[in-house]
Amino acid sequence: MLPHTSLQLVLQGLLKVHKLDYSKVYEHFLDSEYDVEPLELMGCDFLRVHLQIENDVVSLLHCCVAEITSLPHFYLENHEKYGRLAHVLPVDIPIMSGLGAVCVNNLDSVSVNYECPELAFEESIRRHKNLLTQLLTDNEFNKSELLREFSTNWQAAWIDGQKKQVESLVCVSGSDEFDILKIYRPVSKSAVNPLGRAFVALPEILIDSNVSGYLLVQHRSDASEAITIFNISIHKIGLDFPRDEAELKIWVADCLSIVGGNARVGIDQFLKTRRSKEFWGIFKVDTPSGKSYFGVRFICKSKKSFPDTLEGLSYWRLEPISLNILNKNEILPRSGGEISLAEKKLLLIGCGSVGSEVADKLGASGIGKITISDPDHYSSSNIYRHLLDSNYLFSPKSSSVCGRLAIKYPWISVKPSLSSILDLRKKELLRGFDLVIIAIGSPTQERIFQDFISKNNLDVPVIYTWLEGYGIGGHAVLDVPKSKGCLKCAYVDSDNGIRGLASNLNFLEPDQDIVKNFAGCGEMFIPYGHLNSTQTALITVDLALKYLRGVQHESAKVSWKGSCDDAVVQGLKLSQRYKKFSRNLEIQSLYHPMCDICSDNELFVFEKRGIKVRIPKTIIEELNLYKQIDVHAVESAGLLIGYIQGDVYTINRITCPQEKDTQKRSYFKLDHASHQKVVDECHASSDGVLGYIGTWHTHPQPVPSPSTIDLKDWVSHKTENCDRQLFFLIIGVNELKVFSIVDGVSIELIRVGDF
Amino acid sequence: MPIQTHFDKFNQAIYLTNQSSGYKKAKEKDESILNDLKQHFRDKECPIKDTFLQGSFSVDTAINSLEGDYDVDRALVIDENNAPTDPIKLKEVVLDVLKKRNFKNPKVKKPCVTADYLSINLHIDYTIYTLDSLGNYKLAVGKLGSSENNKEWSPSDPKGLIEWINGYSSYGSDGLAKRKQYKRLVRYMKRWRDVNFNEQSRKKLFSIGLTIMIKEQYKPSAYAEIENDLAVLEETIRNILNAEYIRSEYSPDLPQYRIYTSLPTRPFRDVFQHKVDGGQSVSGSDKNIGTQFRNKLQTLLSQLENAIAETDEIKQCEILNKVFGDDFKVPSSAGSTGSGSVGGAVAASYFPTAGASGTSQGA
Repeated sequence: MLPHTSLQLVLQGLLKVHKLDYSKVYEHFLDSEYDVEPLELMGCDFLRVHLQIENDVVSLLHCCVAEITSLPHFYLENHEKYGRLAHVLPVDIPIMSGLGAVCVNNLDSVSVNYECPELAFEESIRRHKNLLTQLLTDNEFNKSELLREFSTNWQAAWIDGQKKQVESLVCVSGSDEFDILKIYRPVSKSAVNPLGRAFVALPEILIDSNVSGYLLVQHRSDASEAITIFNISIHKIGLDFPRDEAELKIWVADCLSIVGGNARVGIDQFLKTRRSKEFWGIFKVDTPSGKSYFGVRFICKSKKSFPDTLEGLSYWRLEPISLNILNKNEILPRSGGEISLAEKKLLLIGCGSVGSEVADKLGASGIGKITISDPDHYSSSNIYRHLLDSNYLFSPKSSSVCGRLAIKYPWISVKPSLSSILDLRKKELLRGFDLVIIAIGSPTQERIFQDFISKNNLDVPVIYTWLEGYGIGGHAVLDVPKSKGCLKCAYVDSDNGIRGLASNLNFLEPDQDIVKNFAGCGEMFIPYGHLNSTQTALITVDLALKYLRGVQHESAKVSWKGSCDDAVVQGLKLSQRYKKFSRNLEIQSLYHPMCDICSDNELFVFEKRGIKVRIPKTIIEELNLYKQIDVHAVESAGLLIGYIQGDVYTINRITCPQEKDTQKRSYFKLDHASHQKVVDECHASSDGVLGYIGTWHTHPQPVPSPSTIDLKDWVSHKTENCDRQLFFLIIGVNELKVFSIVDGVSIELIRVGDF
Repeated sequence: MPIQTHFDKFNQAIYLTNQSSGYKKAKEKDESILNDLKQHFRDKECPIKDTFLQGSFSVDTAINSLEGDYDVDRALVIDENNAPTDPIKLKEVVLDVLKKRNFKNPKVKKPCVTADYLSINLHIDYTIYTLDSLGNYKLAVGKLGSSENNKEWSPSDPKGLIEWINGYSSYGSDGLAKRKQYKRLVRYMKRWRDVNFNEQSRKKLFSIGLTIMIKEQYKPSAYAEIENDLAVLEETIRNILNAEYIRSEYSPDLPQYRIYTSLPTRPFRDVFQHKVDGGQSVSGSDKNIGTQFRNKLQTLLSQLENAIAETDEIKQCEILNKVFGDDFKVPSSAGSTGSGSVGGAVAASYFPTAGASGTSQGA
């Protein structure tokens, strides 16, 4: 029961006049398993629940609210009766003493049925009952949860009880059991930025690191003369968290008395030999959810050595410190970064609207080392589509963006450069990076750069990214040396196999008047907005991260396709690819079958009556693997995938037997769906160049000849695909034969020579 | 459909809380008068340090009245140290506040100040208590112009009464569920009273009296499963009739009866007190209501016995409908629950059916 006090106005001030219709809630619970009743206390409305837990009845109290905006909240009545419970925080308001706020994991992500409040209440009560049952019946669970919530409990028990301001400290914690840290004073007690108002501390080895820049150490004065600060690991703590200074002393003395190992050595050798008026202790505690921290400030009128016993502590005043720990291994994953990327080195060439966003997203991913190169300065024509703010106007883009990243991501190491892409054609330099990202929007220089990499056999993966104007889309191409597909694949003209000057990925036809001439040659620009450049940056960084994580090994491409409305209004022509494209944001193989660099050069040509098909040597070799040489070897079969150029067909790849096929000595049943899936994939990634052009299967004969079943089968395939010539390969034990169907009759093609 | 389902629906139909929509106006008046009272008590340097509901709302046994009228029973608590020696002084403050509002003849009664609203069917009772540092309450007793002997701060235990009614520790296992059943019985009996007594008699058959009797005579088995409301109500009525609440009074003609029921907590007085010549109140109800109560309770018992003996669900409900009135619905055929809820079932709801669900959403 609530205590009766004349402070009822305080309570009324806490409660809004509620408009929610609780009558429905009460009616709902009339027939329910829960005991729910209205209750008026101090003239305010509450909802009270009695729960039977084991042999005890537990009462929960809910202050009536105006609307349901989260899972209904409850207080546990007489919480002290149950001892210290995890997830139950004593309410720090005198009039509400005896009440403990219960936290049932009510995250924002819990979607609550505010339209049927009675159901929301029922669910909340169920969760409360489950949680309280666990806490009250399983003491070990309660203990482990208390420890898991250590920081919250410590805060609730002690820091919140302090009437005066506690010192605020931002601390980079080391990984050692014991460490003396360097401590720096606030930049200014009146700094606008709270970080500037806090003390900061970090291990000696990090003083010249990036994180010290992040903490503005260069603007602070050293406080180590006056304050000895240490960082110590303790593996066991009492769960009866202190609520006042006297309790805190006992608790701290207990903690320190069981410290062993290096931490003990640290106390004995470093702390006890040092005389100081002030010691600050950063205690690192093992909890079920990882590490927790608490800070205690030890203050004495005269210089004394560190007190680690209750007796010693009696000469000292103890105060809590409001701690903020920056620990790379904890903060990075918790705030969305990836530890595994911390050692990756990237070179970003081009730092315009796309490049600057790429840089920012790379930083946010946790990439550890980024070099940014751009000879340009940040100008007013980019204001609405660039990461930078007015502080950087007219400054070099590269150093500006580096500066931005350095104050945003504590552990990032950034290096600016003013070199242009062509100046960066340096073998040794490029070899030092895990990945190069080029965001300059210049197809010419990109291809020149790629030539350099390719000619020098440099094993440096590069992502080329660009967008097109009018919100039509953007592209990113990953060129991984020695894998199938290269930047040139993105330039092959599918009509003739010749390299074009505009990328075949583009959604707008080349040679149109796309660039807007604003004020003569120096002021031309392609119209696009920040969303477009950001979207392009997103597909680029996504591709980069997949490569760096080892998810994507091969050369790849990815595009985002936007609306064509603005382009159409401008009278611009859309490319065939735009019209057909449906693989938005999907990462696809970069390889173009007609690319002279990536394709097989050794081809066998088969011909009859002007019908010509080219089969790469690699495919013949692949087919030979399925020969039924062994007397028990079963039949294999698959589809032929290829393209036509002029009137010559080229087989580009085959499908191999799939899991769902049925294979016997001289019988094969092809599972259509699984083979078709491969064909569809090739068709999509080649933008329609590759398609189905026939079948292959094996025969146990030395020199194969088609059976009547084969012939019937071929004729029916041909009838279904009358728009193209089809080819049928039979792989015998000794020979491979090529057939086609002309006017319903099979003809055998003869090998006429090699290409 | 088991008979319990029909009782549950009946319970739903008569259930009233101070959050119910029908009670909204009453609640608004209550809050607004309370604010006024607080102001006036503060001006008298006797601030209201706590206030709580008494009566059926405080123990969740309120029901909708047949006429649509509503009660507010509110206790005002002041610190004993601030209290004037004469308890009537504060009752006058309440009376003055009520007079300035739209009440018809507010008056000071012995234990309270009472008034009926003019525009809405709202009946208000204010009681004033002092509270000492040990948590003891004293009630302001006396009327305007009472002699010194008839006015006092009288030891009382209003919270103890609420706790006594809410108690469940004697019920054995499933105490909370049994307490829920007890409160249902109280609601049923209050509705039974409203249906079976005329307006004058009804007012004399105080809810608190029924509540105490039922509490004392509701004797669920400690470990067996809870029986249905019909069986338990029958047993409880039988217990009441067999207990000493209704006692005969000598009469030359037909026997006459009085009802006796004592408060279980301080001041332990009889709740049905009647007046004798000279204005004094003595234990026991008047004979008229006592005799009526006995007769009708016996009729009720035999009706409940008939209902228990009846095997046909519809006939069973017909009997209970006669006992409890039309809020006890008679289904048109077994399995359905009457025309009212058929419409309800047809009207589809598009609201989610779960209370809450964890999602993967974030931003």
